[in-house]
Amino acid sequence: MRRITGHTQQTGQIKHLPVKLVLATLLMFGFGFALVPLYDVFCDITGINGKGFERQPLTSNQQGMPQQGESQEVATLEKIEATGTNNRANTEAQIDAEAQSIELPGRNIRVQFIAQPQTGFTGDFYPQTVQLEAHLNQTLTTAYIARNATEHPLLLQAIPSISPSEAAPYVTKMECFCFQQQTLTAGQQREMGLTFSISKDLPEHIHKVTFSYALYPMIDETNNEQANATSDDTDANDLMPGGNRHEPNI
Amino acid sequence: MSDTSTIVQNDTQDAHEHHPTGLSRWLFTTNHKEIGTLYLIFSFVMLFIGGGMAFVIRAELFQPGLQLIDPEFFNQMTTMHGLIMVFGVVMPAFVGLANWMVPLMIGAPDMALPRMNNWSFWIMPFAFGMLLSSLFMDGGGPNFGWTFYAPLSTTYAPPSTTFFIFGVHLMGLSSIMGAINIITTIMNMRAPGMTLMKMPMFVWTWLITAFLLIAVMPVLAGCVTMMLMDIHFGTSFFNAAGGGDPVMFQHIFWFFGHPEVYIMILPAFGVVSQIIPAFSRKKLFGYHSMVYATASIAILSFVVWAHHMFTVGLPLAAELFFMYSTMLIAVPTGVKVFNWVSTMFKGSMTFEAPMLFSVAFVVLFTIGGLSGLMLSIAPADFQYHDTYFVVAHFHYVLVPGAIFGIIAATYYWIPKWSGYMYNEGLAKVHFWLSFIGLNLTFFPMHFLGLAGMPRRIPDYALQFADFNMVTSIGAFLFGTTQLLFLYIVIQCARGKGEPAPQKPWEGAEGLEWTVPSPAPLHTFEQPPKVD
Repeated sequence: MRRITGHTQQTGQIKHLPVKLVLATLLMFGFGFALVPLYDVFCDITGINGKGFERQPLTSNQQGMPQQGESQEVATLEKIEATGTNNRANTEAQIDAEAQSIELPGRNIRVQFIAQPQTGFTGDFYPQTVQLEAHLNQTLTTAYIARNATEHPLLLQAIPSISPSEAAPYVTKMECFCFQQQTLTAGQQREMGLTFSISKDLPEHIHKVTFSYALYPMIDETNNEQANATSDDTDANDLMPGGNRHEPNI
Repeated sequence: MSDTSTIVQNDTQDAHEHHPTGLSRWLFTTNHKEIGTLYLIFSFVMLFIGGGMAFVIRAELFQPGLQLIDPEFFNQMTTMHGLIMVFGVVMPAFVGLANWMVPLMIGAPDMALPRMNNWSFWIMPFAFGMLLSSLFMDGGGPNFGWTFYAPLSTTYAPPSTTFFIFGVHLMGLSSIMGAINIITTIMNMRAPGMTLMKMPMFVWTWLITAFLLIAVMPVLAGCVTMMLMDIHFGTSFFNAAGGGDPVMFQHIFWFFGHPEVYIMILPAFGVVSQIIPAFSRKKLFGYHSMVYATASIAILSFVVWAHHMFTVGLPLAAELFFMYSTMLIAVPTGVKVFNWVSTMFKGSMTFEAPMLFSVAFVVLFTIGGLSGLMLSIAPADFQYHDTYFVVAHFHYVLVPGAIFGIIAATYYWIPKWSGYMYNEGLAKVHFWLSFIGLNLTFFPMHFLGLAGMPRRIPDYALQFADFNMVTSIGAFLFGTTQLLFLYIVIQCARGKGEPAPQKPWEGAEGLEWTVPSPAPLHTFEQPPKVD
């Protein structure tokens, strides 16, 4: 067989060029996977993924906080009923917040909480408080309530999101049920805590911050026929030996 | 073999003439012309399969209400139509054109890596066999749209998705091998005197396209591999519950996807840059600026991907960045359109079929580019997103863009391939019916989209009924007309028609017209001299 040689003078390159191109291909295949950590790092640095900063101790944002604020560092505010039937509680909460605004410097912003139970989760998932009036730099505690309506234990993971995402870098969560997976035994209802603060550096034009939590069951409801058979006297963790891995419904 | 001397070369010169016959001739061929023909035939077959799916879609959308097919099957049709047209029609057709024409245009005897060339073609039928077979499996074929966004394509996908993933792997492998072959051929096998800046525009656009392929096809392979791992191996790349991110899927996909749309259009730019000067009987206006514009489009294509995702909740800074970088692409594209028009300006133009398709390309691609510019405006995109306006836009750049480019190339070069002239009268009928059918199909989609009709729905609100009926009639006309194209091509291949002279087009230039028609199996065994 005749070897086809190049007409041009770079005959020596004919062997090396395909090798280089194959290497470039492999490099780009690796780059595709490298995009995954790059994406996470980029989102962490910029905070644009709406995740906020988790588990970070109060940093310089908190240092400018006046003394009297410290005494009220953990203040659970009155909840405002979602239905609006309890108008008195509503106004009381506002009065409360207004009263505090006299004591604390900085401005008030409104913090809203929404819950998004995902497909496969059977039960209830809702915020204890739909809306709070909060002070910047103030540490607040609220909770979400989850109820397992099934006959077997559920392993749950909440995925947080903050809107507008521009506000996310200014939110620090000290304690959140989204930090780890939550186990609910059959029929159990539980309050799951959330402690956070919003930095006083929050841009002026933001008046409202929304915290959203999507609650995922770590075992799909549709897969539970098998799970049911074994789950009656086993711990929920045994159901998911892979830890935080989700088995998709295929 | 590696120490082959010149004498041995001369002795074995004729060895290639004893090629196998029958099926094994095609199975084992390493000849660039035969492989080019195989690619073009494959792409033609796929055109009718993908077109058949478009028929099903338009028949269902002929009237509001669900008449013919289930919504689930409708979803499979839209998905497969997109996948087949992108990966099975446009890309193989251009690789086929490159196989046939690049060695002829640069004066090379064959492609640089002929055996790999054979392999990269023969992977394709298996890839698409696997993809198409998934339609007959339990749970149906892919139904998540050709963009296969996770978690629709992972958590909620039919079981056949694994076949789809391996199909994409194989077609990616084939494209990458084709690209390596083309780059190596162009870089190493040009005739003496054929410097880079003397290369025909078609060769230039393919060189740049091949680099794009090598840069992004592996990213697509990585993307579907992550899907595979999410589905079968318990990872959570795109699964929010496990700490992954579905939005990241869109970033990775469109990092591949946007260069991909230029992969599908740049070779068409090259084709019309060959044809317009030939039928204007003038040199291409602004050759150098054409080369630089093509390279600029290719480089810019890497920094615009998120304009497909304006509505996912990008921060303002990102929306602005991707909006302006997208608009910037209009500049080199404008340069190209300007150059084509300037080439025609004061030329002695004639309008044979290749020229008709090329002129229509310039006009209609510009319309598609303009709607692209409208879509690039981030605040406006919130209204256009996922509507028929987007469908109208990308069909205007792909059908009169890529497909018309391929048809023009076929008419332009088929005398060289087959040795016979095509039937000019029928080709003109083919052009006008295609032109009317295409505009009838896709122009009303702009209005449907602006009025708010969403993409990928099997049923729609009553106020969209009239335009949808017009669109469906146009689609039936356009689709049926392509049978005429098939007939014209088959007539040429069967040797019905006038024998073609060596150079059938008066104004055509280039090395491909210095070999006889039909081009013998082996050409440029002695390199031509280019001055």
